[in-house]
Amino acid sequence: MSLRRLRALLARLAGFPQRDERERELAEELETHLQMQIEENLRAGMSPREARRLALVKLGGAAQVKEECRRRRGFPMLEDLWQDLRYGVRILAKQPGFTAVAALALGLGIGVNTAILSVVNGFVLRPLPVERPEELVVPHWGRKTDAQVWGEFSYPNYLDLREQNKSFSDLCAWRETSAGISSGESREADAGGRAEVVWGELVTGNYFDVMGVKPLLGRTFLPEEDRTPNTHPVTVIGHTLWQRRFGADPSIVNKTVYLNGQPYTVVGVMPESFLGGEFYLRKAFWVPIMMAQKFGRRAEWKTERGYAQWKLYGRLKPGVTLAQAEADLNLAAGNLARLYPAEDADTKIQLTTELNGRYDNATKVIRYGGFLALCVSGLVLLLACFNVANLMLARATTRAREIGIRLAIGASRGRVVRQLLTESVLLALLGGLLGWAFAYAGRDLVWASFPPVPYPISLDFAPDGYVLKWMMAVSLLTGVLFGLAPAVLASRADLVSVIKGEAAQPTRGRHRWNLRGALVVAQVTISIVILICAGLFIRSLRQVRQTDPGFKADTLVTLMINPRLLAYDDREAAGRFFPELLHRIEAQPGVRAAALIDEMPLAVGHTTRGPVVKEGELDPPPNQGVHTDCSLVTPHYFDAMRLPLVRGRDFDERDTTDAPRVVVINQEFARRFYGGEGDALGKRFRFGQDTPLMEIVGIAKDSRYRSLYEDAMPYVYLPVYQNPRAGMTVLVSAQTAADVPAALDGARRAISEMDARLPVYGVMVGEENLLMAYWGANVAAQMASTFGVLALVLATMGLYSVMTYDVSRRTREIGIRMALGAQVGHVLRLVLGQGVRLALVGIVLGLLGAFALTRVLAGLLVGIGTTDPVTFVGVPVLLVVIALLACYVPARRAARVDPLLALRHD
Amino acid sequence: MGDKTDIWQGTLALMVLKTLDVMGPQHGYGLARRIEQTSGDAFSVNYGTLYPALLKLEQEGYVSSEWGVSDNNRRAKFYKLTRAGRKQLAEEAREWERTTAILARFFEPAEE
Repeated sequence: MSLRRLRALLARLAGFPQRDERERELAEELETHLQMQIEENLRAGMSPREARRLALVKLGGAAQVKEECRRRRGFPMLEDLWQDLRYGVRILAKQPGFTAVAALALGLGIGVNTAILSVVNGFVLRPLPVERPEELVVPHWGRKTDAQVWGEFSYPNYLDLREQNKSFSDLCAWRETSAGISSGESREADAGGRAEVVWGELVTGNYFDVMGVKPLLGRTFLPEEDRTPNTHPVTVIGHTLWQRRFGADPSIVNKTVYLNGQPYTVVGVMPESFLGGEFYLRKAFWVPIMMAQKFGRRAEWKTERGYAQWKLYGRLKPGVTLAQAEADLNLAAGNLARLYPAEDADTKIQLTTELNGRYDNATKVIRYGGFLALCVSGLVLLLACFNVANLMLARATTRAREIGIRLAIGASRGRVVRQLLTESVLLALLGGLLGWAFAYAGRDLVWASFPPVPYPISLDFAPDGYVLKWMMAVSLLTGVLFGLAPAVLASRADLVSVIKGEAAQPTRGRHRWNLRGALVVAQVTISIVILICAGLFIRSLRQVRQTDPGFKADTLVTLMINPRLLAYDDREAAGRFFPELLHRIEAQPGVRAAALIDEMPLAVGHTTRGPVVKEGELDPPPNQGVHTDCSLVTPHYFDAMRLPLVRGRDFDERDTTDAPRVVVINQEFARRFYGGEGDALGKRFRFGQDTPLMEIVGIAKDSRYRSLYEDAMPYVYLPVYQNPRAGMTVLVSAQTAADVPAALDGARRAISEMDARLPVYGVMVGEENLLMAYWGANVAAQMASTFGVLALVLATMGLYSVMTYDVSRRTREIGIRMALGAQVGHVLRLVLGQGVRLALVGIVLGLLGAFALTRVLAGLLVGIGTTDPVTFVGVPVLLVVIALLACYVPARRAARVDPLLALRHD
Repeated sequence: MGDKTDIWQGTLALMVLKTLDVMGPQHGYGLARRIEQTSGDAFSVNYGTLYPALLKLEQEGYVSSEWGVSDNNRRAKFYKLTRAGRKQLAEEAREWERTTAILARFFEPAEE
């Protein structure tokens, strides 16, 4: 743009506010001009009349000049838009019923999409809240001989990579770790409140610089704190921990906190926005990597090149691409492979951005599920669009006269379409606003559907700027989508008949009715598809709930403890701490039995060991042989779980490290390896070179381990007293369901008596222990039923509004029919028949669509076929009933029409 | 007054600038009369061309305006050349001369 045009534009902008004054000035100026011309003419000797007449002739029309100057002064396009907007608002305000219904329909459609997109956004689209997150990359380590890569590096390798690369402004190492936090040191009491487990990170000194985060209070780590192991017990704490546990104490810096029972000096507090290295967990503290040994790492972590424990983050130098940096790192890795072939042979390094790195993990499920959900919610939005388009079409017909007059007095068709579109976009934006509110409110629902896990999950599902941008686009698009066809149709009005008022006759605009009929059919079709999906998922959930997990959860309380956090070693914990603890818990009122297991079945994780080698057999070649899931348990585990032993005995106190090694297997293991239960008892096997031979002393009933829908799988229980481990889940079985609270209190009391510093976490009561198992099916069913209800509401609204409108337009026709002797029943049948015909066409199409779609869903449905008859019959019947109801009310009204009134109608 | 040649839009701006340059601040009517006189009454300046042109010049910053009192005691808006306007005038005059000089060559009697 030239300087001159720019200056003119600025002048226009600057002059915009005083437009009215400018217009008055111009009028005055023109008047002066006219008067001067008249005076001149008078001086030339004309009569006053003649002088005025000639002056007017000469100067031309003042109105045109004013208009020309107005256009030049302002922004005509904008002013038209402004005019359309004001008019649109007036029109919408004048028909509050229509506006409310349409905005609600759109709001539901847009809201559901916003909510789903927000969840997907929270998981896979929202970058880590650090400075310039696009520069932050994650190296992964792998072997050239193998496609798999891991996130962890050893410390010596990290140091070498950091030193040798030329692509990163810096590379840092870190690792998440849990710790027991307490305010005191003594085992007896904790003055500063209950001990708890918090998550934090071990980090190198440059970590905070790489992340680009400054402390809110105090400082981050000094170079000397990053040099020698175990010499600098300092910590930076997270904002949430600071607020929650320390009441946002402004003088927290230099105070002491106890992590795993050891004193640490707080040197800084992170700002609230900083989560840590993982996008979904909010970390509570950071300690120098040099303190690693205090957090369960081996003493040799700093020197042992094979001890891959550390995750890396690198910040790319400006202008360096991911591929360049990857090539650079692999060059360095090649050097390492030559120097240290034992550990680093064939090393390869892969780089991903932090955002892309997530896709490889559990977020795949979310991505797939989220995509599916977005598709379905897109259908719901389409349904809402059809709905509103239908309403708009109906309205455009009643507004035909207004539009006809506009066209008649010279508005161009483009201008009319633009005005109608402005209205529909306005409506869509209103819907978007509502949708936004729905999505914001729905955030809590999303959270509520999350399974209870013992981690500080921090995912932000509030719609953010990115979602806002999308939703604005979607709103505008829907506005155009549902507004365009009605607007174009309306602008094609036949002027003469419109103005004569003939447009209200149902005989005209036949194709318009067909379009609206088609829209109704489309709505029914889409809602059938959605409802059948919903029905299948709900039936599937019911099936899952009826599946027997193999144990009884109703009287069960589970709590997690990890004495290792307090520097008990595994042996000490398993040898003395646990037997004593269980003894004390079993003495508490209401407790029937207590036991320990490393990880609860049907919960978060599982352990696999192998290969299974029977006594007298040789080890199979590497990477062959059969592995099996297993857990570590204490005596009374089977009793506490109410999981029957079909043969043999439970573990007991005699099964210690000094006694012969024993195991309990399940029925499937016996069948698979020993051809039946009878022959298995007393036999011995081992897990490769991992364990000595172990004797089978008991056989437990088959149960479910990883998921409720798995096939029977072999399983092995090992006694924790022979395989020491400190991090365990405490299982307490109450006498009855009513005793559960007492049992929980008792267990807490017993643990606190053993060591008051020991934090208890991940408490689950009764059926909560199965929440994880039901989660997937639960979420699917919840979402599907939400969609289903939405679809049903929208389709009903569509049918009802179309039928009502149609009846009101046919009032005269119905009146004539009745005047000519038609019975009430006949009229009812006429109107009902029309509506139901539309619904039936939609239902047939919908069923076809659903059959096709459910093939895709087969993998997600459990326990029922994809052609579940209950769903495929029930849903259409439900829709027919709803269609009948939606038509009945208007039909009833039509039948009550007084022929005399009807004939005078319009 | 009869039929007068319509003013060629692009040149009106230049005429306005030149007239303001010669005569100093002027109101709209004075400008119109002066342009008509200078043209030997070949042009007739009406509202429709003059005021939009003045508005455009003002928006582009070549003229400025303020209210004042005319010779016969009427409140009128006076237009005045700005510094940018003076520069623009010099530039456009040069351009004009160049154009006419070139055109003139086409109409000179051919030299033998």
